[in-house]
Amino acid sequence: MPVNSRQQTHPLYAQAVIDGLHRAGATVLIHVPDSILAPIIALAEEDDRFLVINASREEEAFGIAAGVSAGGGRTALLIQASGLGNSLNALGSMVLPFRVAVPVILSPRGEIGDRNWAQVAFGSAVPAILDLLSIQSLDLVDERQVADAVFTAADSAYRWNWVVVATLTRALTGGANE
Amino acid sequence: MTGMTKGEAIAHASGQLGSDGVAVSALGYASWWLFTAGDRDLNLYLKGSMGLATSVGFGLALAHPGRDVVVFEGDGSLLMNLGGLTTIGAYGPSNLTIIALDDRAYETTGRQSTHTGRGADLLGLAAASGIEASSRAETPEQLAEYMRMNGAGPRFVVVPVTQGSGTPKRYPGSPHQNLLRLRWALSG
Repeated sequence: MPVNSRQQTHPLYAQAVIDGLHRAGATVLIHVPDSILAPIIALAEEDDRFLVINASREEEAFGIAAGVSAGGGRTALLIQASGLGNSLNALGSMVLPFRVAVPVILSPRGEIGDRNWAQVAFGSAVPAILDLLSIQSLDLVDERQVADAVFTAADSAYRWNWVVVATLTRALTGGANE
Repeated sequence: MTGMTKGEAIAHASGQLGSDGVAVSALGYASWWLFTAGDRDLNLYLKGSMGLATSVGFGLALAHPGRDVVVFEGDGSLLMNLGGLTTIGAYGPSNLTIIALDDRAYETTGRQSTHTGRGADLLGLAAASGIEASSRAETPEQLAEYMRMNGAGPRFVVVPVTQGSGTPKRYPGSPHQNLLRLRWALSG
């Protein structure tokens, strides 16, 4: 059953992501808009437990996250996979050398079923790129396990001082509209 | 034209930081001159990710709203992250000051011209991004005056500088050591 949020109805996975991040101690959520992430962001913006920041670009989001983490805060990013492409230098020359703790809730693009072929080349490369950077990821598939999985991913990021990715799969969300 | 070199401007501004003020510097000469001016546990020196010092400073300002955070940026690096300026304008962290050291060149890579040497207006860009307290400091006295926070940030100060001479020193530790040192200092 979906969750009602003011006039809007949000899928259950959205609240589960929020619950997992909160349980791990995240207080600052940084995002760049995306249709799959939209219900999560909407819920977070109504939730006084979080400060929600809309960055202009994903590498900027990693920069803000680095500052929050350097200051001892716990943050999480909500970005689209294409935005990971915008962030590669930030990851390689700042986030990983500084050992910044960043859980990333990733909305995939270019996965099987995506109608937009322009997203396919980079989307297909994301798992290999993460692997090359020694960034581990897990897939969020089953609605009932999302909160625990997001908690585990975020908690690992904070313990390791590293980036950990949790991917919102098409099986969970139904995929992007375009 | 100001009489300040980049090193002199950074040393002067660093001297204005309170004992609990946090400083973040862009990669290259900004970081090297900040370290040369006097290493502090509350200094974070970027070694890569050109353009992101401003965003890192914003994150620190969010994490520690009770402390002043000062970012030392170059003109070239600021131009790489104009979206970051608009985010700061949108959220308005009152404890953040950005000092833009404008030498109209990419000094670290060999003094190629930046677009500020061709007319790009950093003050105008900051103001158009919603950062109302934006100023141009031509002298050390003006720089000190504009750095006085009084909770009225975010502030954006353009300092026209010359390259100057001398060889700055570099922070010898790893980025991770630098970050941990800052985090521990902030938690104390």
